[in-house]
Amino acid sequence: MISIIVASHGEFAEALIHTSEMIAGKQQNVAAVTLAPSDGIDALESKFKDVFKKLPRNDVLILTDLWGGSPFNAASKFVAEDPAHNALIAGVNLPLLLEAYMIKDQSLSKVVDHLTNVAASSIKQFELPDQSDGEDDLL
Amino acid sequence: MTMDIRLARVDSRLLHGQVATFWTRYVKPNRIMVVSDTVAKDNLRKTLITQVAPPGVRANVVSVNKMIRAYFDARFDSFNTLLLTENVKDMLRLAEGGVNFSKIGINVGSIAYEDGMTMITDAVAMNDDIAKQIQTLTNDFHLEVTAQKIPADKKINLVNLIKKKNFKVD
Repeated sequence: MISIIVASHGEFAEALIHTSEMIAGKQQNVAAVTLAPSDGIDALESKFKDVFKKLPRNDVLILTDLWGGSPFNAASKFVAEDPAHNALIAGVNLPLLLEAYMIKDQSLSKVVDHLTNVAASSIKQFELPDQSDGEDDLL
Repeated sequence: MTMDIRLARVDSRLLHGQVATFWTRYVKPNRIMVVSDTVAKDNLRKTLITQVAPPGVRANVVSVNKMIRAYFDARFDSFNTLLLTENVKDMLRLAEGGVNFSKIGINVGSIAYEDGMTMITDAVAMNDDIAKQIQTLTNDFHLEVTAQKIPADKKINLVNLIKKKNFKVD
């Protein structure tokens, strides 16, 4: 069972976890790191450290809002320190987080592979079919 | 033989996030049958439902009578079906039409609140009429009717809850 940290600029990470639990129910070993406008790099790092301390000592997947943003940059240091047990993916959204919940019991590398494969398909345009004659094709 | 119905769920919101993500993963259907006389006549809602079916699963929207015909039609014996109705009444009509839910029972995800109803769980609203329908599913069709939003939740037996909350079912 991996742990998940969602990290963001502002309250997005906390709200996203809250929203996801509306669909998926209460989750274990999921935590938020939020960057306040007044936070410096050190403050952000210590927020990450606090969250790491609270989670069980297992593999951790960090999902951040923006590639190259401060939460991402801070998270990348933790991955650099222990790449075997920490992983980082940028661009978190609701479908990605729900997908992660569903495979939390798998290994970190499998979770990362799966999420990066399905991520793009979570964003798509709603299109009307070419013709709608009102009849269902069943029967 | 008939098609294999793997989940029969009453959900006011029909096919939505909880169903499309968690229940589909859990039940592994190859077909989602949304059963509603009103939605079957509503092209926009029908289109939406067929479009939001998760990858690898096709969704159909059919009337209650069409669902009963399809259930007994040998052409659809290969269906592993996740079946959704908007209300308990339609589920009861299916049971009365001969659809056999005895292996799986009835799952109630949500019943939307309307005037005169009482919330009996955080997602299920109840009144005497619906309580009677649930009682009939239990007594006449010997089906276990339980409230459960997602697979990870505990099942709540609705007949017991209805008795405890003193709804008029006689």
